Amino acid sequence: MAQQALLIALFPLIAFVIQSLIGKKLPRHGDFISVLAILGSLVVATPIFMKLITEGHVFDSFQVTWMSLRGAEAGRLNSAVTIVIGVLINNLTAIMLLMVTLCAFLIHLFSVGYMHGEERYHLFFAYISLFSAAMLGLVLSDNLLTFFICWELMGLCSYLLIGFYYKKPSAINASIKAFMTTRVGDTLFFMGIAGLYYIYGTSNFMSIYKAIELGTGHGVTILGYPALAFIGFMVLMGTIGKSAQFPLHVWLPDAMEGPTPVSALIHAATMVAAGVFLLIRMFPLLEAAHVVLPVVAYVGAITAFLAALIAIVQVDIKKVLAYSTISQLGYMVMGVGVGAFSAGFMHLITHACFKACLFLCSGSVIHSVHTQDMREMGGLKSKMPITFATMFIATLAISGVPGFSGFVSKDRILGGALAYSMEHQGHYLIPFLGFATAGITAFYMFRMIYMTFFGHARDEHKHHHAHEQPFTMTIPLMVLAALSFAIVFAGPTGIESIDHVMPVKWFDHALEGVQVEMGIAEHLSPEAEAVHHKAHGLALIISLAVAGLGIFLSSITYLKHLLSAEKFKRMAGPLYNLVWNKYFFDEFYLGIFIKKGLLNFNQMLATFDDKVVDRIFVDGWRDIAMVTKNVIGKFDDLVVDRLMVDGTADVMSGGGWVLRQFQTGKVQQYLVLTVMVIIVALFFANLGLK
Amino acid sequence: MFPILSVMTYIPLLGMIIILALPRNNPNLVRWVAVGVTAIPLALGVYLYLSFDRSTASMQFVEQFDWIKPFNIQYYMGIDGLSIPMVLLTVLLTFLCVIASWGIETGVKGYYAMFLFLETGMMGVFCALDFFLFFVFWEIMLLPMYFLIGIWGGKEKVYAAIKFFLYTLFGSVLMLLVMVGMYYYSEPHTFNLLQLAQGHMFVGKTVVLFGHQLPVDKLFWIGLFIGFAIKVPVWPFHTWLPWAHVEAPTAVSVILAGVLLKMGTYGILRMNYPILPEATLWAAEFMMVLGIINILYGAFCAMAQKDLKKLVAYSSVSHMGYVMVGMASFTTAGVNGAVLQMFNHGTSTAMLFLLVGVIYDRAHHRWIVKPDGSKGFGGIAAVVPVYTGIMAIALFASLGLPGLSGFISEALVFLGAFSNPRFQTYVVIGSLGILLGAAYLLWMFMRVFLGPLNEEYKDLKDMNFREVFTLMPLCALVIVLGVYPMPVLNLMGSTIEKLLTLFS
Repeated sequence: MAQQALLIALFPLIAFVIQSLIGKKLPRHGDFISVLAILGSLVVATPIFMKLITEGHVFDSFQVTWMSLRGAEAGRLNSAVTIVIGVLINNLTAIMLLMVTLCAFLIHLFSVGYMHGEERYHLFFAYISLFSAAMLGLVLSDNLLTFFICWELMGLCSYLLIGFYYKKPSAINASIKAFMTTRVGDTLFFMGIAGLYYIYGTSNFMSIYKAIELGTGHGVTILGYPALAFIGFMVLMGTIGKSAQFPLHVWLPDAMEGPTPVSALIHAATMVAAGVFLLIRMFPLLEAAHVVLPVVAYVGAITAFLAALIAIVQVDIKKVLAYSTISQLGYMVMGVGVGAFSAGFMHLITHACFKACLFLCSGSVIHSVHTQDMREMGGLKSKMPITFATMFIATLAISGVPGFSGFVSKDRILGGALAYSMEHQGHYLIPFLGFATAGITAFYMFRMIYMTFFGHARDEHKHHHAHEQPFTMTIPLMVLAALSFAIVFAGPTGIESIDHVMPVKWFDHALEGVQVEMGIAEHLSPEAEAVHHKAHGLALIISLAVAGLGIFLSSITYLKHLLSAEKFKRMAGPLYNLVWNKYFFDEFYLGIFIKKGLLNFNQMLATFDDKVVDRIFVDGWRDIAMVTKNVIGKFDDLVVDRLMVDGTADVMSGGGWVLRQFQTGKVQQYLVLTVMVIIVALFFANLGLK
Repeated sequence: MFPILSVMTYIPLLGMIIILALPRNNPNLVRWVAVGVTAIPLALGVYLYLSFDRSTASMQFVEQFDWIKPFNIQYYMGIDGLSIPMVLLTVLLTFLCVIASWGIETGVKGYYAMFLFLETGMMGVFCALDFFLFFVFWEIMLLPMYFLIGIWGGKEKVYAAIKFFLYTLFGSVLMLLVMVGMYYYSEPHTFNLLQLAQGHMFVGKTVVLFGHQLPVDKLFWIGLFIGFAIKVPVWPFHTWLPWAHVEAPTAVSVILAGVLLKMGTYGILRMNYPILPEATLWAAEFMMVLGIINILYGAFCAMAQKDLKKLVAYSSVSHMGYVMVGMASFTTAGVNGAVLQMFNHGTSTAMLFLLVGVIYDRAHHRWIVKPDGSKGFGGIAAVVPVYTGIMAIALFASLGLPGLSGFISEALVFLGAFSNPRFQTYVVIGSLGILLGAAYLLWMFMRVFLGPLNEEYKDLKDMNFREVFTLMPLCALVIVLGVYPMPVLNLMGSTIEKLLTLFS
């Protein structure tokens, strides 16, 4: 099974090679190659998932030796190094594979319509094929090294696709910003991998789980920190970069410069979720390191909250979704941090479906009205019924309305967060931020729906030309909307006490199996069980209340216009200013850190190199040589020549000629002379020694 | 036995004589002869690659006989796992450079004659196993390089050439002193590098200099190190490099960065490591620090450059830092990574220099930002898509993108250095170089290739067949070795294993 699974990543890779080499010459610029390739991947991934559903558990793996470096016996610095890579298929993989291939296939299909007629159409498909290959390769990896390779390749594709409209300065600025910001995290992540090789000599997930279970690696330090904590924090840095968590979140909103299908695929459903997937894969290590998980939880909670606040004030439909993505990723990270790791993973999957749906819907709207500014939209409900219906469903999901997938996963995360703080008698900020975010999310998502689809058309011309999309674009919307219902993952409402028993159990079963594999199966004491039960019950009530409140406030403000948003804006004053300017992160990074700091430092160093190191320390020798030459020349002229040579005329004149040759020549000759003198001196010295 | 190494070394010399005898008025004949001549070592290189025994650390294809008997100087050639990647790189790059030099119009005969002479020097350096012979080749190589920069270079060619010459000469002086010293302190007196490497000959011996008793082996180590460090170039001996690169014609820059820089690190691994292992360990931290300085200093300086070629030149300073870090780590992964990085940097930097040459041939300048602050290029991706694509591959290989060759060697270097607890702090600091590398390259790419097209260049011609031909083999190597590096790692494995046993 594992060998066949390799095909899943291989198909899109082959499509990439074909597309980038001859895509332009093919009929339809070869878009069918990419679409068929990802369909092939979906076809291979489906039976693996079906096996999970029917048997409740899948596991398979295979390894090959990639590099083997000869060395001495084990355990020393010069011992042999073998780098083994391979494929790991387990329950997590099976679910991820299906999610990624399905989303990717639908988005490929959508792109055929959306990107139609674009310049470099074939390259667009080449890039998203490469991206799909990398993402699927990452999911299949059984070790962190190939995981990292795919991780970086996704970064490359993200860079290429954000900058797809390469003539547009804002797009290329966004692309380089995305690449560099994530690379900050990537570099530290790689240090974490280096740390793993240092303590375990491997980065294979199963080997790591085993080592953690056996307790090896405790007591080892890296840079004075416990090794596991060091690695854990480095892994977290990778996640912070890739999943756009504070403080490295700044690249994701700008990444919306890319074509909208790219935003859906890379910057919502898959790549950004890879950071969370990494945390989930490495969960046993994070748990064993103790100090890391609370930090993870805080990073997630703060990200979720701060990003949600920004989303309220955005007027660009894609920017709203971008900040909402950051915020939701924060939820996932928070979920992992509080130990509700299966809830975090569930949210990863549910979010992928409804967020991809939201982005594609926004793409459908943008494609139709040719603007991203929600202030120029309005009243599109009747013009684009399918887009409206699907986007509304996805909005219900993200807002946490019972009956929809987002409710189930978010509720579990919030329950986990509340249980965490109740158990620890502290950390109350985490659930507080979580609940606040839930309310804000419902508010800004309904705001978006109201501004886009309801009310009167604010731009008659654009409204007039608006139209529903062809079926290649609407079918993906409908499929993704269908996946936004709770019944797919749990039960009809998603509320345990109403559904009584969760009729749909595949997800929970699958995740239980994963926990056993990782060696982190939970055995709660009866007291802890009670706390958890209480927390989840309480969380359900609070999250329903805040979501309801958010929707209510949004409705009376943006639908009924009973409250004025403008008034709030004025009331908030400096706070609004802070949020509108995204807490001035960009100004700090770009203005102060890069422009004032880095570029000036570079300039200074380059000038130092040129004017000081080169001109003084190197060319300076020439000047010294020149001065010496002049001094010796004078000495020769005044002392040697006048006094001695004139005195002992013929004998010395020959010598004077030789000397002058040395003094009038170029610098090289001085050096050659020096060499000769030293050699002769050494020879004589040696004779003397004997 | 067929003296394959000598044949590879002297065929270009023979070619030089032939070229000098050719008529002056037929430059194309000269070019084709040069192509033919350099194709022979290339073909023999392929044979070497195929028949090289990967399982042994001992010298292969050995030629050994007395040369200057009274001083026990031998003509001793042979290659092991350290030299063969460099030999292959030399023959490949020389061949490609001869083709890439088609645009040279003045003094064609002299140019190609010097180029072939240069190949003789380079081959000799990598094959010589007798210190005296090594030194002879080392000096031979200097001469054609001096003329190639000084005659066919840019505006400040003479200054650059003299600077290059003096710097290297300074290193040579130290090397010469060490050579003589080693001869006299070895028992029996010898220049044979393999004999010198046996039995820790110089440990504990002292010499009195200026009234101080100094350990011989450390003095030797320092002398050799400075000699080689100038070539690498290790900070602060690097300032000849931007000058030489900027002024040299394209193909010479390629050789300079692709092969000559590696002679420095090759020399350290060939001499300092096996002959003076105790002193090498003593200086490990020092080398590590210099390596880190190289990585960061080179990267910071590169980011400030306005001249495309100077940027690539400083990026070489930075990338050779990785080699130093890997070498100084004394770990299997680190040293393998270092030698692999020598090879990979040879290919990726050669690509970058060739590509810079392509644009220079068309636009007659290389400014990213002109000295007066106006835009040099801008948005040329729209008119030269092939050029942009190949540049992107070279650039991503250079910044260490996984899937391309630079990543593997950098990753091995870092994994290796990190597994030596002494150096973990340095590695973390040095990892900043990964970040900076991406920054200066992508920033350059953005300013030159992306954005709105600078109308001045709307008629820029894309690459021609000859130019694509010179880049394709390098492109293929960069991708293949990025996916599967074992073809090169296998070559050097045994030798490095043996080398490292000295330090365990």
